[in-house]
Amino acid sequence: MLGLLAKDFKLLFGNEKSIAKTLLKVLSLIICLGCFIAIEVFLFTQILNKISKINNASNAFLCLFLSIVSILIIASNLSRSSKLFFDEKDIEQLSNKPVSNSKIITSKMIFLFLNHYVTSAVFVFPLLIAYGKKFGQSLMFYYTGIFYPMFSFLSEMGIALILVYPYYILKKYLKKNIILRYVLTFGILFVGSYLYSKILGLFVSMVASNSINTLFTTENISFIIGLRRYQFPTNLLTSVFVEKNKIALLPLLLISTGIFAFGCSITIFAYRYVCNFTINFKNKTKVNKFKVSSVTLSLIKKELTVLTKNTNYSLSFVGLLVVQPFLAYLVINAINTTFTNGVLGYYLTLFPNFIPLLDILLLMLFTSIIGQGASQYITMEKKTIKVIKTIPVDCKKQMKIKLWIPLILSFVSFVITILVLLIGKIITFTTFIFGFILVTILLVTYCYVSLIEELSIRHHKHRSTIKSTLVAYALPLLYFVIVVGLSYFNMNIYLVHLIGIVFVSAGGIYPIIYCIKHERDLFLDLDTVN
Amino acid sequence: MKRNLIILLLIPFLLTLLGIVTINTTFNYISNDIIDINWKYDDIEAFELQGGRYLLEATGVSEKDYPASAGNDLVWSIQNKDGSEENIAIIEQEGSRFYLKALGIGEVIVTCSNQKGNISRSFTALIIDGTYVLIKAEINSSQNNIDPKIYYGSYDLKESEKVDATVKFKIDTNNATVFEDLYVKEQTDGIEVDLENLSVKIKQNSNSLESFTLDSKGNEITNNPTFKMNIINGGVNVYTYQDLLDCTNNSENGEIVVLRKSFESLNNYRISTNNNVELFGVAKNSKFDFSNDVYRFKTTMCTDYIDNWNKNSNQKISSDIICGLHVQKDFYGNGYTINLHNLTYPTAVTEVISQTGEIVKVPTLASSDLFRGPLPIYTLGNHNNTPLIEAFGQDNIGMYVNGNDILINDLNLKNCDFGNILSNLRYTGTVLETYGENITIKNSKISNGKNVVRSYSSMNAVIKNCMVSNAFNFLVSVGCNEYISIDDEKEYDFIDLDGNVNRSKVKNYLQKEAIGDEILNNFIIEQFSDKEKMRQSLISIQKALNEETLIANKFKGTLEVVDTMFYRSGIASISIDTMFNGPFIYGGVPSYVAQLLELLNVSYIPNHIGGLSYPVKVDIKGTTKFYDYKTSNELDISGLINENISVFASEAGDQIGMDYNGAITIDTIFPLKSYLMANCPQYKVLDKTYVNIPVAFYGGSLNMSVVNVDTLEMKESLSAEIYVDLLDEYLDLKSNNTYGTLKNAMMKCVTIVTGFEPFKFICTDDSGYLFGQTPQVSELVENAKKESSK
Repeated sequence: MLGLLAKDFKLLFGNEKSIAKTLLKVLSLIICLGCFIAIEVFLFTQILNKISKINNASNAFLCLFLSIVSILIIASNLSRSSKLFFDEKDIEQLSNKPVSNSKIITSKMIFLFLNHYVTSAVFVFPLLIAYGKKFGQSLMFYYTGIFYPMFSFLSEMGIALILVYPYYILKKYLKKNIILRYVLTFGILFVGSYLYSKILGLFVSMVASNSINTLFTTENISFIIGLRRYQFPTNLLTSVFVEKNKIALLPLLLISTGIFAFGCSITIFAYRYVCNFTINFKNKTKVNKFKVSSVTLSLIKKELTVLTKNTNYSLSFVGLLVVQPFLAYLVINAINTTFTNGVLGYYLTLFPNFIPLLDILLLMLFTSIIGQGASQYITMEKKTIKVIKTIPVDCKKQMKIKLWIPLILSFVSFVITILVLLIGKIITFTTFIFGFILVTILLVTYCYVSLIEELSIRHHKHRSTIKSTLVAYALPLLYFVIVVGLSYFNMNIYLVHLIGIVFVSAGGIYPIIYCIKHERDLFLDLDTVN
Repeated sequence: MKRNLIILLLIPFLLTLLGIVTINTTFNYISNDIIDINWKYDDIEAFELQGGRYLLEATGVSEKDYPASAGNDLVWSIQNKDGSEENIAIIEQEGSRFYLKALGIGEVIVTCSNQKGNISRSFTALIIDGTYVLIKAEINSSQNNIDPKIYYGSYDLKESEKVDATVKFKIDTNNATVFEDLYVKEQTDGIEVDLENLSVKIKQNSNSLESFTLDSKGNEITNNPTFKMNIINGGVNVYTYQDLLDCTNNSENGEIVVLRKSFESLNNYRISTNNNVELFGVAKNSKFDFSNDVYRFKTTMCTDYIDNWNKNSNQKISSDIICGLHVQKDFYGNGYTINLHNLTYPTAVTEVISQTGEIVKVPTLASSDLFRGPLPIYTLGNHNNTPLIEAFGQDNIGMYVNGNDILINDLNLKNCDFGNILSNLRYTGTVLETYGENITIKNSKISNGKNVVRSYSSMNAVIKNCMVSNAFNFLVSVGCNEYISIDDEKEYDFIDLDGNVNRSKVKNYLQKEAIGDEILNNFIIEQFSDKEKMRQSLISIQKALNEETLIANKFKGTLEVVDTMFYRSGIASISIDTMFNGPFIYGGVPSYVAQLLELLNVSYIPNHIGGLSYPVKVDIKGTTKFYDYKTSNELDISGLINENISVFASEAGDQIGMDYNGAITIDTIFPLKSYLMANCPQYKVLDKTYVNIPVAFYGGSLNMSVVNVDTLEMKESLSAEIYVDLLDEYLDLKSNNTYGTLKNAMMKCVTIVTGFEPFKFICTDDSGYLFGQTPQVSELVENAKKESSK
């Protein structure tokens, strides 16, 4: 059983052999989680402080926050259970081993539970602690809170398990049907963006008219309380764990157990079916007709095919490239409005040029986050690495094409985004120029660092994303802290921007030079798997 | 990556929520009263002498969610209709039950009121022995009249067109056979009685008093069944909301209005069982849209600030005033109520847990609400979004009386029902505003608004025999829209901090980095050692801004207040306004403050805004009374000036873990209250002290208005004028720490905007004049009766 659990752990989180790197990875994870929890607690406490005098608002907001967390956890559970139960490689490996299906399923369930508990604890406990502290709850409140993830597991995992097989089927179907995949992807993105813009627009108009406090009118609070009826399982969970309503415990247990049992049955049935199907089914070899074309063109075509035909990239990269100008416009406009109005506007007078600097930071984050979607230059090749290693094409040329295709796509999307912001008068011309330079430098740096990480992948050694994560997040954030600090001391804004450019460039020069210099060696050292 | 993107997309929402301002409101409760009395009695009811004793039944109507305070139990009283002392009937009380005991033949007026006596309702009781016939209007009168006369207009409206008025009546008798041989015994020339349809038609150009009398051929009627009507020729009877709009907002020149029904809020309309109550507005799913009903006009106040701001900022400020009813001709209320609650009161509610743990409902503006508070006359910061300090000008209006020679008679007008906290009136506007000559408001009850009556630039305005009650700021506000701007080129003598006299043009002296600027900067940051020299310097600046000779005795507004009762204000009963005229609004000096505002990203700092208001004259006469006691806590000037410095201090304190709540408040920034309380006579009861402020003169700029109380009966109970010289107090302020200096600078910011002239107050003395008493409607009724019989 322990072996199975260890295998599942590797399946989800990879396998790092170096203890130092594992420790580093764990440490960075703890730091990230720590930061996240700190921000979460800070925000929730701030909100509680402001709304605690408003009747029923605290409970309504706690339930709303927990419901959002619940939705995110269900989505995460869905993705994890899909990977655990329906990974073809995993199924193939297990089929050769003398382990009964019941043991396999039990181990996966235990693993999912542990995973759920930790994830849930990370998101939920800070909210419960902040709430308990604000309202002087007894120790019993905190103690019973420990059991919250256990109860939420039944329902949240149950819902994920009910959905996991249809999700797997859909994914598989979309993998084969590129047109439908794109229709669905763009549909989801546009509907999501539209809804997002509507809700954000409502918030922004409230900020602009200084009426954000009207969120807490009895009508709105009643609406949020009314929503609780539909917020299963959070409505029952908060009744039991926050409001100490013992009567809600029985329906919570009955409904949650029912959902979980139903989800388990579907998943077990589906797992068995997929096991048999995967083992017995052999793909027919497709005979392709080849056309003769130039090497460069073929390579470009191949990269574009990988980016557009792969299910992962269509949603996370290509789709987001299309909606980036729209989303960035909405977010930056909303944040500018928030920071130029009301109390926040007055506080920020202490930091001249805070807003243009923040706009540049957001552009950096948007571009690097979306750029991440296509930064798996080598990983995306999967089993064809041996092909790229053996074809008689200069590796530099191959790498150049691998690097520049997504880079150019990201760059074009970024340029459109920043132009939209300029034309929409969200940013000034100065911010446009310096933002353009800074984001371009960051984007190029990020792509080169990702390439180095990709070229460092070895057999049994997955890609380490520490450096690229540092470039994508730590570098922009550090840049922001420095430039805002300089601006606080009333330094000329042009000088501040120039220092920013020097700082971000300094972060990029070494990896770029290193990559150009060692690209060939790294490429040659790449392992191929037969 | 997807997770990070989601976080990025969630950031704006989270930051937006951080912008929420903590609600830190102190709730000053008032003892609220019932809003009406419910019963089933018609205007006239018959009681047979043999019946002996009749149970009188009525219930007090409380505002929804606000049960009435003590003093609101119902009590009954009786009075002979002809004023004689003869015992026709008496009221007997047994526990909480009241009975009418008939003793003799005749007519009595039976009145039910709350114990306080400020809410009442009456009907006529006919004590009879034998067959009687009563003629009653089909639609009951308000039974709430102050003027004893019931008026009828000579016109009705039919599909918005004027037609001869018809009044429906009904007949009540104790002998059904009477109906068979009933005939019109007498009728005056101006009316036509139709007994078949039980209606009476009013001819045009009829007499002011028309009547008809019925009799029975076969029965002896023991009473005199006469129906009297006071006719207003050209007046239009208003029965519906549409009629009301057609006679006011929809009419170019207006119509004489004769109310025949009350117009109430949705809640009051729903609970009303009377046939004389209509809804104010048109409800669709319990919601109202008044945007096409209201009357809008460009504000009559000085718009220099708004105009300058709009020229220089993208976020425009509207200079429109919204009013519920635009009245251009006489308005006869017949004691009926016009309650503009559906229009004026914020439609959203926030439930806040108070300091004592109670849940308090705070009215909150919804985006669709039209009444959103007064226009700014000057703002430090951005009016549209959390200004630092803002002085208010003209507000939206319930009833705008606009024109010459207009009479408002016997009307119960209120902007809203507001629960039991005066600050709930913050956004509800002015109840009645006059603008014109010879406007008279008499025999009326005007109540429940931020300010109740506002009379600016109105000559010969009269408020007579009225009850004016419940204002967040002032019950009556008097002032003038006209003003004189400062002459840039004129030379004045200015005294510097060394005592030297410099003759200079105002514009040169009060410009950035000039001597005036330097003196004012020193004043703000406490950089002076000789208080007297600083005072002389500042007074010389203010004198240059106040050219007294230009306005002395040039009254551009007069108001006569006669036999009127003032009940419950947040600040004072009568305010006499003047424009602000400080050096900052003239020339943007002291420049330190301008620099601070620039740091705060205030897009435009207007200047050349101030000026000298022409004075007004107020005569307070007769039996006018002031029932306006309040404790220091209840004296609330937060409706006078909007400030957000205390909000920022409190929010900043929250961020750094310090509790600054209450450390900086409106009373710190504009410490009028503490200085006033230190100087005015106070009435002490147990451990509480009360003040009663009949008149407050705005200071800052030169206020040359005059209040005359020579013919006021209670003048002996009034104090002399009390001066609150903020400048004198500010010159004494010294602090040796940053927080204190900052706080003092903030306080001084008010004077550099308003000017340095003292505020003046007239209070009642410390003898306890009318303390604990409430105005009596019966007194108004008596006054009206006397007036009517003259």
